[in-house]
Amino acid sequence: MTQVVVLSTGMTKFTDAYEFGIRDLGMQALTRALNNKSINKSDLDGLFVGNMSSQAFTEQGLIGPLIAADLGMDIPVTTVNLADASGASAFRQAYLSVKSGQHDLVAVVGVEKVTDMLGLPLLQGIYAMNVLDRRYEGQQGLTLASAYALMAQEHQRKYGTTHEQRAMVAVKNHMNGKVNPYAQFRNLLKMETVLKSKIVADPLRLFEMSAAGDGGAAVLLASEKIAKQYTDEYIYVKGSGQASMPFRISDRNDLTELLSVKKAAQNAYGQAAIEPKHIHLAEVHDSVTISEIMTIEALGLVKPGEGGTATEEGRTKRDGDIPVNTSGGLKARGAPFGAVGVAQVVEVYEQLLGIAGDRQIPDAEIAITENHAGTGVTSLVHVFSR
Amino acid sequence: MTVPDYWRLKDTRFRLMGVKCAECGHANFPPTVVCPKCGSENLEEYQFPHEGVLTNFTVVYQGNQQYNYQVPYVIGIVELTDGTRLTSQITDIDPEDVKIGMPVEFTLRKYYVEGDEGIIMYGYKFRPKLKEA
Repeated sequence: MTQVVVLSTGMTKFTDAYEFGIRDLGMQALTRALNNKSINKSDLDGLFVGNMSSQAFTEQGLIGPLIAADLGMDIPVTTVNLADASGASAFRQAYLSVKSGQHDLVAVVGVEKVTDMLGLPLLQGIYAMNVLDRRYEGQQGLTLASAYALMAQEHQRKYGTTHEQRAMVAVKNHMNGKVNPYAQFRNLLKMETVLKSKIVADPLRLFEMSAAGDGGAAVLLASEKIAKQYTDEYIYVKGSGQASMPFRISDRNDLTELLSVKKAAQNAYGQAAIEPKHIHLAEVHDSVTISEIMTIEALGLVKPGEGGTATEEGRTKRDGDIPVNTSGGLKARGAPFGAVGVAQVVEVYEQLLGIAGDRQIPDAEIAITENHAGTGVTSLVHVFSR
Repeated sequence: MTVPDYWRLKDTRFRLMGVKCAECGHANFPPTVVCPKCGSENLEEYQFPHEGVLTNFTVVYQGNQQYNYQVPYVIGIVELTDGTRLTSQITDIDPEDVKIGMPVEFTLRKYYVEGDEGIIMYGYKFRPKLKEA
């Protein structure tokens, strides 16, 4: 079987990039990934672009073909939309295209330009349209934050997860963002600041949420045979799993379990022939603090219900036994929807190759990424090894 | 939301009308044109019950777009007496008095107004069940 590898990465800083449009961010990320290994764009035979809402945010559709055309490329282009899981979804399609032998060397770009759309309620409204059932949740007044709030309340009732434990997710991720040059937020966050921030939907507070931001991230994928022509520095993609669960939160039987994450992980771990105990670090979807807590449980990194205590005990910090979101996660590195899943791969690539600088987890050999849409209606898990 | 879209959903929105599968008896909320359980297109009209209990809720302090002026409001999951679950606002009660397990009942309310020229949107909300006279 073809071994698929990630042989280069490129990123823009995640920020409110008022001076750049969506095509600029996509083009910069892709060009940096090519230039990092001196690969000519004409060597690419496919491009997969993950993006959530370029039409609504920037009044521009066909964003994948636009980026390709701007770079003078005439290769097959696919734009993938899976809301804030668009990046991982584009990555998976690219991976499958190489794994199947259809393509030899492809690029994945995740990109989102959010801040051309001014006004938080409007921006959140567009996100909500993407991830909630508009006619039977959104129009009734459910928001993404309130959907997660219902999950957080249930987690609190069932397992006793505390406000402080949730806040610790944000505090920890800012500690990591501080040492990530790509991160949108490079400041430390005090527990007290999180706990005293404005309440959004009981019990969730403003500083438990990821913020609006722009950015692009790109990775190149190839069969190992082709990759060797360019470089010896690459990581293996060992497994790609995806699963879905009921769309509407009211249809879920247990609000404390991210079933799609659990199934996607089992699928990916099976392909990679690993168990959770083999994993050295994980990049997960912490769009809201409770999401990270529930995700690490679903991934089997901690037992169900122990996500809060594991975080409180520092087990998910860089020096803990299972470092989570060494990049700073969506909370601190930033969360430009379509770019998230690809940026996670960039982090894992640097960690496994030992080039993550101040964020480096020593001797990291196996890492995973987890990216989900909304509150987990569909989730993707990828396993990587050095 | 456009007028045809609003019109299409009116029976469910205004009265909790739906459909029940004539083959397997499943009544899905929201109503679908194909039974999601057995795949049949043979569906009959079905009136969802107007009473149920609140199983989960939260208080929203920051809403999206049209709802931002209504904060704080209560939104939660209601389980109707036939077991159907749906997401709804809970109205006619102070947020601090809302309790899980509380009996609630259907009421038709205004959702929001879409600007100066848009439609005034109405639909179901739930309120604490009124004491029987």
